Amino acid sequence: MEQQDNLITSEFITCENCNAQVVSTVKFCNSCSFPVAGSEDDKRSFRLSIGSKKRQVKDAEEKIKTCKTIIYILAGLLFISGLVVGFAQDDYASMIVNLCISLLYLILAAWSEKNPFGAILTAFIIYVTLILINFIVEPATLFSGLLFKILFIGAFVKGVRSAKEAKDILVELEKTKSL
Amino acid sequence: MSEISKELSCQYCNEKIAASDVFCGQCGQPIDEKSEVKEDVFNALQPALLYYFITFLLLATYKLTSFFPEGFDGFILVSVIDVLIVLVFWHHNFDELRELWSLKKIKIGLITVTILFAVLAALVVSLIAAFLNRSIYEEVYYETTLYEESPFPFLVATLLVAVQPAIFEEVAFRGFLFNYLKKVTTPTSAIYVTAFLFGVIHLQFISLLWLIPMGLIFAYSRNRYNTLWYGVFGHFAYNFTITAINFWNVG
Repeated sequence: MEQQDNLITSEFITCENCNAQVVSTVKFCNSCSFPVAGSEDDKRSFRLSIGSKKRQVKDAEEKIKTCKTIIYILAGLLFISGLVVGFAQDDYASMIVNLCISLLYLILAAWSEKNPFGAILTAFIIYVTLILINFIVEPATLFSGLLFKILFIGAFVKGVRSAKEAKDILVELEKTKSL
Repeated sequence: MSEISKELSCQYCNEKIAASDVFCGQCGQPIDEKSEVKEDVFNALQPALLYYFITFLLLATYKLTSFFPEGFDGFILVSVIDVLIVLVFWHHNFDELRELWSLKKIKIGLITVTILFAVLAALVVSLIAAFLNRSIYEEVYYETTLYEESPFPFLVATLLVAVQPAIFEEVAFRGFLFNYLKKVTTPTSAIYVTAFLFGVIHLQFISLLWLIPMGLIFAYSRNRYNTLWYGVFGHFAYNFTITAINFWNVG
């Protein structure tokens, strides 16, 4: 009961960051954690940390975009090589397999718009799986385009981390009403 | 805006807080968040990737090289290793997986629909496969000649092709793999990722057209009903129907 009375009689102030009404006795805004009773320095460092989080999201989105591009490139390469083995070498079974995998990459690239983490992780695992299949069948294939393989795998690893990071930071920013 | 009906307090500074608060007014810490250390996403995914790649290497070595003995012996050997790998992971996640086996969650009506649907799907896939050429045909049908070396071919085929995957693939893909993924991402995303991996690990790339949708349905039902049973019955019914059609065609 005493609590209730306190709340009713206490004065409210408006948070500078999110415009929420908070009790004047608090040090931080209950809705966005802005230091309402803090010094100018405290307030500046709050804004700076929001700014740096936004930059982190932007960096992460760049890496996600690189992965998307790689997935489209892989889909395109498999599509072309499928047509080549099919029509130039009359190997229709390989053609269908290549076209199926190309389609799979295409689906993953489209899905990455909605869910970058799931799509990039899946594309990464499938990419490594296909390299290993070729290696098991014909070990020498490992070295063809080795530089690209290393670059793509590196980009995928960064992409998976970035997708997770971006999502976590966006949740935080949403919480502090800073989007 | 604040309604203090229950006494709530901040987990960091023990100051009283209101139910509607997102952050503590005294220390500025978030309220609902569990104070957990954020680990690297690949650390969290390590067991999932380990299971997938070990199993993949086993199956790929069996299918693509002559490392394992030919015929029935090789098939049995690979199946046993496959099951042992799943058992190790099952053992590590035993408590988490136990609730997914609860019999209380089974609804007879839904099980019946699942089985009917799986049988129908197997018939449709067999029909599609029959339209496609021989090289693809071999992908869809399990070799019957393999089992002729065993005393009861149909029984042995049923155990190895229908019963074994229905239990162990479900525990792996809808059980611990799903749980590992759910720790780092949303359930929806775990459904899709496990479905793709389930399709790819079969190493039959044309069959992806129906393996991925199957994986999606099983993973969806695991997430929706929190049980493995629909996947187990559906998977069994599907594989059993394919095996039966296969033996019937040969006989």
